[in-house]
Amino acid sequence: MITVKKLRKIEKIVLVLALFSLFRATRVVSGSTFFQMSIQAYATISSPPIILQNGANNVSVIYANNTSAKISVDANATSTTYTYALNVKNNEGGTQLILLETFNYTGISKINATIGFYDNSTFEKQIIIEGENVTEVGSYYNLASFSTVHIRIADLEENITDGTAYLHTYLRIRIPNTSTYTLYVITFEFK
Amino acid sequence: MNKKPRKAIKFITLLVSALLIGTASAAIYYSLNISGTVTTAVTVCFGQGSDWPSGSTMGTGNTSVSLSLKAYPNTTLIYEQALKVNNTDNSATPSIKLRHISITNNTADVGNFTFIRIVLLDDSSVQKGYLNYTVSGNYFTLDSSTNYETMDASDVWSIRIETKAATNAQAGISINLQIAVDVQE
Repeated sequence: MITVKKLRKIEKIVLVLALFSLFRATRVVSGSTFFQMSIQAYATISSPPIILQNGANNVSVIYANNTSAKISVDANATSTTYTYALNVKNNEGGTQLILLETFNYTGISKINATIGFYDNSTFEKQIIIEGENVTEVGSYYNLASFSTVHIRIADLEENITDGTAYLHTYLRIRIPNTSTYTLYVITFEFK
Repeated sequence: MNKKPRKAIKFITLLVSALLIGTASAAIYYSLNISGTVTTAVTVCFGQGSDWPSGSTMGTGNTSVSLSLKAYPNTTLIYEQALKVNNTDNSATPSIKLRHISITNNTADVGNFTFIRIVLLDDSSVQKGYLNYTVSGNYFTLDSSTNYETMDASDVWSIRIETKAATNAQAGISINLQIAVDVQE
């Protein structure tokens, strides 16, 4: 039988439970503001602004989309110059800046040569190979709108007969007054 | 009938009801305790980078942007500083991160691309996150690093974008990419 005394006890227990649940539910909430910035980008495939073409020396293989090439030349003890090894043609209305830079080479110790851009009057040196040393000596060349410059290999000679040497380069193409650029792979093969 | 048990049942019912009401009230009390300060100025916003792509537009308040990017076949095009991310406050140190929202997918157009990379760089050009979309068949797959990174006061970070189209890609094809820069202050 439930007595009044027991009921008061139950009442106290329930009261304690109610207070407990009330305080347990109380939280101190702190946080930080959050917002989102959005970027919508449309990427469209375009024709490359500069294309590579086989030069008058007919020593180049041009790969898909005219954006990479291999120049294959004979090197021997007699100094030889390939003035028109490869053509670099600007297909756009604005000037483009171009630079030749090395990213790898093999067996190069047998080769001496100077590589650069030739516009039928001036030779702008870019890379000098002297034995085992490959040195970048060039600065950006201004390739005017719709004009062509030639890659020239000057004073090429083989100082020892030792297989085939490779020089792997990037033709760096930069839009003037920006740091937007693209890299075309040009491989030089010295047989 | 004995009156005491009936009274007891009534009393217990009352107490249970009171407990339920108390719990509900507590939940409301919890909500009411959340407080904050609303400010209208944003600490972080975009700015045009030195490689701001031609044809791009900046939204009102510099918190949204529409970029017009190019991609060349068989060669990588790099916008070294397409966008700036400016912390305009000289004392606050907000945290930011890149977040993928959506990209064109499951169409033959996608197969004309090789990759699109979005890279977040700090003021020393140290990489602080990236979204790297590479193509497999007609799908872009995403590899990403998107943790919150803290900007120093008045920092200017940048976003580099790299694109490459597939060999023999068809000129004129476009894809649409949406990403977010989340800011926590």
